[in-house]
Amino acid sequence: MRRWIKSSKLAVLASVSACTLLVGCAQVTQPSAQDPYESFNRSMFVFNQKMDSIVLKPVTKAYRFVVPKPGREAVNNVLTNLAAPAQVINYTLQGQLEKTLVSTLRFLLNLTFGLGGTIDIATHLGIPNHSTDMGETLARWGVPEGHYVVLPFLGPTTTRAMWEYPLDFGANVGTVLLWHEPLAARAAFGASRVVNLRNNLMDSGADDLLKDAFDEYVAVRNAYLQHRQYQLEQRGIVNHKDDDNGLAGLPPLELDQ
Amino acid sequence: MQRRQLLVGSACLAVLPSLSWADEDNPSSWLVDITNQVLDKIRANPALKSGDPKALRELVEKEIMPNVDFAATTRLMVGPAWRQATPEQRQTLQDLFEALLIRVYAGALKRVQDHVAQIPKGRQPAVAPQMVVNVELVSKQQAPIKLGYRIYKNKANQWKVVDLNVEGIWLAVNYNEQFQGVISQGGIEGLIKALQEKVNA
Repeated sequence: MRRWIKSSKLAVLASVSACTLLVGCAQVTQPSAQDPYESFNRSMFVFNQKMDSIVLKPVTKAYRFVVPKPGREAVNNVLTNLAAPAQVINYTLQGQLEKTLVSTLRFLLNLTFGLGGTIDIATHLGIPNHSTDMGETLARWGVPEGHYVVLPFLGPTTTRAMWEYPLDFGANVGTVLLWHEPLAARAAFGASRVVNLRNNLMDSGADDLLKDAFDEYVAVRNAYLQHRQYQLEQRGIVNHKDDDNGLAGLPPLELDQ
Repeated sequence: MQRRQLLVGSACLAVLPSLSWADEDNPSSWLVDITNQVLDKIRANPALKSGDPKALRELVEKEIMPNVDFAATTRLMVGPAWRQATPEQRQTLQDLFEALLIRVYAGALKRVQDHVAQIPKGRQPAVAPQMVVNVELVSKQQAPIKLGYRIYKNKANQWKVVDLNVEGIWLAVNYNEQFQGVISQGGIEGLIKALQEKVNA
């Protein structure tokens, strides 16, 4: 027994040092105000990129090869519907009564008439999905966006947006149903969610963005932060003034005239 | 009765010129039109969909560049270091950025399907000499893609595009921040070298 502990400790030590060797120490040349943890974040980014190219991308490509598009859409629908309770909780915490009821209704409709969620019947019936997350809830409570963070395996987020992860895990129907099942079953469910997310990312063309990047880390950071800001604006977090011309946050234009 | 009709008619006539003026000055419909023209061209030409560089260059130079102030875009991408660049370096940068843009486009064009550009529902930014116009690409098969054009009115009173965002991600701004690291290490020449490597890769 003791010997086993010793060897497992050794294994942990070995894998940690392998990680450090793999990732190395990241240097910061252009510090950014929203990214004070850049050195750590860059290391995590490199780690995630390596994991992606070794495991996640090949698995996702195999998934795309084996399962045709309608099948992948059904999987995405099921997984999205299983995550709906987190959405209901968020809308409740935001005090958005109508959206709370609508997302509850959507969840139940898809679960029953949508054959366990494989068909997004609610959207077909004219009840479209609205996205929300814990980051939005916190934003509505007045919590600032905070700093940019790259989490191992989970990728880019911020110190405000990352609180979605525990809620998303805990308030997922899959997590609850598999609570007493063996670890392998829970891991398989988690893996299927990750592969589904990677599949959606591949569909969005995000890989092309990296292909033409000069600094992949900065490209992803900017894209994440700009898209996040835009997403929250679209959900009505920012109150626009009437004379707003959409230029907020953009660098000024210099013209020769 | 007749008099009332006449009144309504003349009221309509009075409104018409101001309506057409407003339409001419509102850049939203102009951008929707040029976006749809480009989308039609892509669908009509299989060489464009497969990303043929020659066909792409022709499309960019004929259909897109006349509506763009690419010198302003280049300046936006380079940032403060632009002021130190010589005229030759500026021209080189502009040419290299065009080549880079064509590369980026090549990836995006493969995704064009039955998309149609339209003015999105909801509020539009107020019309101003510098502003952002939102356009969305709707498709029967996919979720809408949201675009934003940053435009300004030049001295000749023409609207010109300087930057584009897709789902909130600005093309020139994103490259600008990536270039700052390259410029701080190798200056303008370093940037030109990095661009040449990327474009010729």
